[in-house]
Amino acid sequence: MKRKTGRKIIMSLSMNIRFSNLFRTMGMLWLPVVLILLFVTMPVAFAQSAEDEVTPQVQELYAQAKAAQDRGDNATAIQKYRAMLKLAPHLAPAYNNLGMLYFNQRDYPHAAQVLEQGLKLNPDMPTASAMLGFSYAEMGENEKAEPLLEAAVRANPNDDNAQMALARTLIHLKRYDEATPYLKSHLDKDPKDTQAWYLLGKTYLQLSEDALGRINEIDPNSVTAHIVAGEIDESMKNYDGALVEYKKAIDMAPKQPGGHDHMGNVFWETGKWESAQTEFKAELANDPNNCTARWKLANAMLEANALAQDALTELNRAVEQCPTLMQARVDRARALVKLNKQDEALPDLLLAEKDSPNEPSIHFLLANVYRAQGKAADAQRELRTYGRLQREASESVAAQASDAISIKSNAH
Amino acid sequence: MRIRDAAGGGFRAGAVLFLIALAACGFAQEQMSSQQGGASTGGVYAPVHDAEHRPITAGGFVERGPVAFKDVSVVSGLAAWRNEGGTPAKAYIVESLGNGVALLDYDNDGWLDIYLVNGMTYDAMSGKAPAPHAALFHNNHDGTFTNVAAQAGVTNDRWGVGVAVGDYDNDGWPDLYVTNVGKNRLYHNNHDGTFNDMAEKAGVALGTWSTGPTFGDYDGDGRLDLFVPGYTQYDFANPPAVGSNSVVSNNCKYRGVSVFCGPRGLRGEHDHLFRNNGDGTFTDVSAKAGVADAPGYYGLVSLFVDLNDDGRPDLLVADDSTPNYLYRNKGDGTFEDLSFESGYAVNRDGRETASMGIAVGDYQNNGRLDILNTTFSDDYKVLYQNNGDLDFTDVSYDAGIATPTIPFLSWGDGFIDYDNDGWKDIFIASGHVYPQVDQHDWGTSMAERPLLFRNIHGQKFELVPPVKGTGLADVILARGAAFGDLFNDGKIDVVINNLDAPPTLLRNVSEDRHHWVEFKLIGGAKSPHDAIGAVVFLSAGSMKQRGDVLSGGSFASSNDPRVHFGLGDAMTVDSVEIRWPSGVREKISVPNVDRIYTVEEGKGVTASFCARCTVGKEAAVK
Repeated sequence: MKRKTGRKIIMSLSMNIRFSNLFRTMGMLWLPVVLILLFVTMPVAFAQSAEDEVTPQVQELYAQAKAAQDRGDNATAIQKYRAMLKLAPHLAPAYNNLGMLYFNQRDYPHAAQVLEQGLKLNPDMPTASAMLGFSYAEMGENEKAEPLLEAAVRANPNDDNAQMALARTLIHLKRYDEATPYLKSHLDKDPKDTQAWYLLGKTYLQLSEDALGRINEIDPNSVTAHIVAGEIDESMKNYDGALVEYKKAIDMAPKQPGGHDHMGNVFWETGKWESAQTEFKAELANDPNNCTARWKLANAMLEANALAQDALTELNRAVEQCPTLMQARVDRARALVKLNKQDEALPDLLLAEKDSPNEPSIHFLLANVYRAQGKAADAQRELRTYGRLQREASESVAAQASDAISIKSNAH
Repeated sequence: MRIRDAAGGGFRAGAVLFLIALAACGFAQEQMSSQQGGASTGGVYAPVHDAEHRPITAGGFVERGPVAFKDVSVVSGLAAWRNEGGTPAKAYIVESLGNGVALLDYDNDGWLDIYLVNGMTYDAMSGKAPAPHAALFHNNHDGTFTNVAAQAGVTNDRWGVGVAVGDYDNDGWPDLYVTNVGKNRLYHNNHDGTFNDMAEKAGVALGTWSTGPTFGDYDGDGRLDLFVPGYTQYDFANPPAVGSNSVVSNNCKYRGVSVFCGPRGLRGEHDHLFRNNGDGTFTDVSAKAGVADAPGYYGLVSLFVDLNDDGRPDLLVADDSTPNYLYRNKGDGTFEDLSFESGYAVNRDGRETASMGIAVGDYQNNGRLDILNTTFSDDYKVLYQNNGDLDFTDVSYDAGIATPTIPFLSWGDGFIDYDNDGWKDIFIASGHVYPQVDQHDWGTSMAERPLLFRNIHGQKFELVPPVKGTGLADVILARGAAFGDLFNDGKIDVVINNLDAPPTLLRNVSEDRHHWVEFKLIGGAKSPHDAIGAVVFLSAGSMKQRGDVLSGGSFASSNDPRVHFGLGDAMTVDSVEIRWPSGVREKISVPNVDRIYTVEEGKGVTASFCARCTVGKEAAVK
């Protein structure tokens, strides 16, 4: 009789467990706890000792815990479960319920402690194991969390929360290669999860950094090492430093494609058009198929107010080599407009507009072309679009500048 | 930063930036390329030198040629006064701007007087020295001028910028609005040779960095309203320098050389439109009218002018390193921003320019006002041809203006018919802002000579060569320039306010080969008394010309309010029609040429003046 009642209690324990929604952003996990599974897998021997411990007092405490939970009083529920476990220390499901309550309260150390105890009594409880893994992860005990979360994902490959928790844990363990498949799998299911994209991006960045660091380890004085150092300087707008590194790379390997391209890019970014042209020409001597360098050469020529026809020659070649390089097409249109060949500029501009409809310069050039063709209404339409895009861009820049000055002014 | 310098630590942050930067590409980078690295808005051009290897801006003189202007600064008495702006080193942008000049007949004696705005010194600001005074040069009618600023009460004694002339209370006497880095002045003319500053009482004092103002009756109530552009926010206690809080980014290099910071990188100041209440006060209606300049562009010059001939003054604002504004007057107290749509915001390359000055004139004699904006060095000065309906085309290259002007950093400008052939020519005054240019071979110079372009029948402009020893060969640090007939001889002269130097008065000494006529207009009850906003159409011979009465423009300056016409080969005037600001159209007869006629709205010609005539001086027609 007592055993039957105990089993009932145990069964009702499992069936009355609340499925807590543990969703949170940036680490909050959805944790559906299906404790009934615990009892399906529970060894008979354990059930027998646990049943023995289900006295009327334990039942009463359970009822009180349940009632407290129903009214949202988790603190009392925890108290009641603790009292239960003093009287029924082998009641594994109770450990799991208590563990879940602690987890919901974000009291991860207690959750882990309680779940460990439950799993000692019955190791074959995948959900408890998963929850313990989540707890360890929250506590930063990544070494402990990883195997448990991995097991959880193996047991249920569709458990998104477990996947994300495992991915984060692997990132913390600097096992980036292993983390990316889980992130990608998650993003396949939820492509709008910006946090997951952020994690994936950071993971790739770290992998890239590690790879680049290896270059330095292998040979810090190699051409590649100088190029990478220059690129880093360039990204931080330390153009003087970048030029030094690129020059070293070029001196070591003057015929190797890339060196002059990088150097030319620094000059191009800093508006030193003549020097940029020199470098891009040198690059094209090494690599005639570098259409980006050819485009930039032509762009530098246009910026330096060189002959538009000369720039056009380069741009024709760039577009021929790389038909999808829209910047080259726009600059070709610009050169054609300068040469009063507006009709010839139109196809490039229409293609570029499809590719980048919010680029103001394209609309400005289109207005110029339509005006030359006598299409006043079309020209006006393009000017209005140009005006709108320019105003939006100006307001955005002005707001950013204003914010920056405000922050600087208030800094101490 | 190098990989080998740190065991991966420094590399880490840099790698992140590098990899993020790798991902960024596209048009933004291309567009910005000409604005990085401290080039001007136009980019970088190869230097142009003359035969003696001087930069063309300070050279290129010829031994012989037609003489258009003679420098009479000393004999006129103007050279006794000196402009001051900070220190010669020009460590801060506020020291570089310079000042405007106004031509007005403040005592109503029929002869133009000259008001020169002055800057400030740091010693004066700290009380160690007296403040530099503005000058009011009274025209003595004999080719000389006397500075009466102190007696008149218009010395300003603040860090001045620009000036506009307008009879804001319609009492028949011209008043002055003087802008400052700080509180502005509204000098009310007391009719007795003195002025009182009414700015605070009128509600137009502001207290920010105001630049080139303009008067105009935008709401058509017969009273002059006032527009004041704003440049940048400026704190003398925390001036913009490398590393300071008032500069967003280090826009403090020009061609790789360190120079003063700004205006890019500084927080911009907004513009203001003040509506005249008719009782000596004004109301700020900037936001309501739609001309408040929300983005905070760097406004330098403004001009109320009717560009689409609907009888309502529209509004131009020339902005430095930011898009220019063209506002259409909608006639309901508000304006529509058509800056980009009109083509005026940028030049033909789609670039914003460092616009310094505005000139308007009908250079094609087709009845439509065209616009000439002056700009920075390494950039051409932009001639916007008016196609009608507020549509403008940059024709600078086609008109022959672009290439010769590229090396010059130009300020005051005007459409003037210097040779009275009936076609409006162009005068441009120039001078750089960076003293450092004189240490580098960049094809430009700190002090620069003026430029005069002769209009070839409205098709093209030809540069008039600077003959040695003449006014066009003056190498000066020009800023504001005002144009007018100072000697009442029918020829347009030029007064230039030079930075850190005495002013230049260029007397027009071109050959007397053509006739001319001028009009002084007086508005009626429903027009501003000084007729600002009036348009005169004159037909003589085969030409039909247009002249407008305007206030402001050039660089922070104000021109002769009288309307001047050269008549070319015509000996008589066929017809004159005046479109008064009230909307009234009036035709008048002009019995003679080579005269200055006073015309009152509704009454026709009420007086004429002939300075060279042997039969009396002031002669009433009726």
